[in-house]
Amino acid sequence: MNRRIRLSFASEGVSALAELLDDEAPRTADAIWGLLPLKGRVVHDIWSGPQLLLHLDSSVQLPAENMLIYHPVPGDIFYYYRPPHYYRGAPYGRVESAELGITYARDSRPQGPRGPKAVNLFGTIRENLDGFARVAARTIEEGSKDLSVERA
Amino acid sequence: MAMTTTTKPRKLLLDLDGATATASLFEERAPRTCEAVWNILPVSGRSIHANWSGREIMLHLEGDKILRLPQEVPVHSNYIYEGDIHYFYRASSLSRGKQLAYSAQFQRELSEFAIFYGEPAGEGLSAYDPPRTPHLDGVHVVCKFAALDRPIPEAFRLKCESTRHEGLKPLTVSRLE
Repeated sequence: MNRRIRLSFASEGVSALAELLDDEAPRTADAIWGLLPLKGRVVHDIWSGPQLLLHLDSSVQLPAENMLIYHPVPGDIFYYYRPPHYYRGAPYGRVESAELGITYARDSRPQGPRGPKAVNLFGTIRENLDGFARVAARTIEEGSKDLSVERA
Repeated sequence: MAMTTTTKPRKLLLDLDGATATASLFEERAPRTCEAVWNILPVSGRSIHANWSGREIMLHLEGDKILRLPQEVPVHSNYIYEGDIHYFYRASSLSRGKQLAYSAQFQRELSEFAIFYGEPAGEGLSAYDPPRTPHLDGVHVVCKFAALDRPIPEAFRLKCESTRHEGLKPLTVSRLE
């Protein structure tokens, strides 16, 4: 049985349960599991459509695994690392970035300022995606929100 | 000796929750769009941050302020610059599902000003919605009709950025008299 994690908007009283893709992305799943629990502000993506981002410490640098470029499905959770100065300028105010991405609705595509980006797909939400997605969509109107990610 | 008259260029004033910037219209390049925009000013609403195009905020036009304009100038994808202000129109038939949760009026039809406040911006108004010339039925339009005057005030730029972290903010676009 795959390991499970809980993603919670504490202030909203909303949680979702996700399953790690232990077979498809074992190294990434292990590494993320080892970081838990995580707490931080999630912001809405500004390049990829219906996606949330949780920035990690940029020292979290994982190798490519189970790469996804196009067509994530709602509930997909991925890891992405952008080396220093990979893009011109400082997207999101960061010249370097390690992050978790959570796709919460259709028509998303992981992208940076210069086009699609490859990400490590390592998890997917299995329970209460609808509730999670409703809060996620509201970050467009209401701004960033606290999110905790923990072992379930 | 013939008298010459000079016409003062028309400018826009943008007030985003107290932070202001001015913009110059591209009247020679997009005269009909500029005229149409000028005639609906002032317009107010809540600015929303882009989710596809980087450092861009949008002002959705509502009610009798909605503009449904034809394409006026050729569009070149990937040529968006900091400070550009675009008019964008997308007919309801071109969008699937609910587009914006906060406003029932704009769940499908979209008429907006797109204000690119910082770098990097661009690559398109969305991955599946890049700036382009109209479809055959002429219902998908974008037109660069103005640009923020430089230097873009830092307070204005920061306020634009803050919509991403703090949520919608009031924005008024008016004539700079």
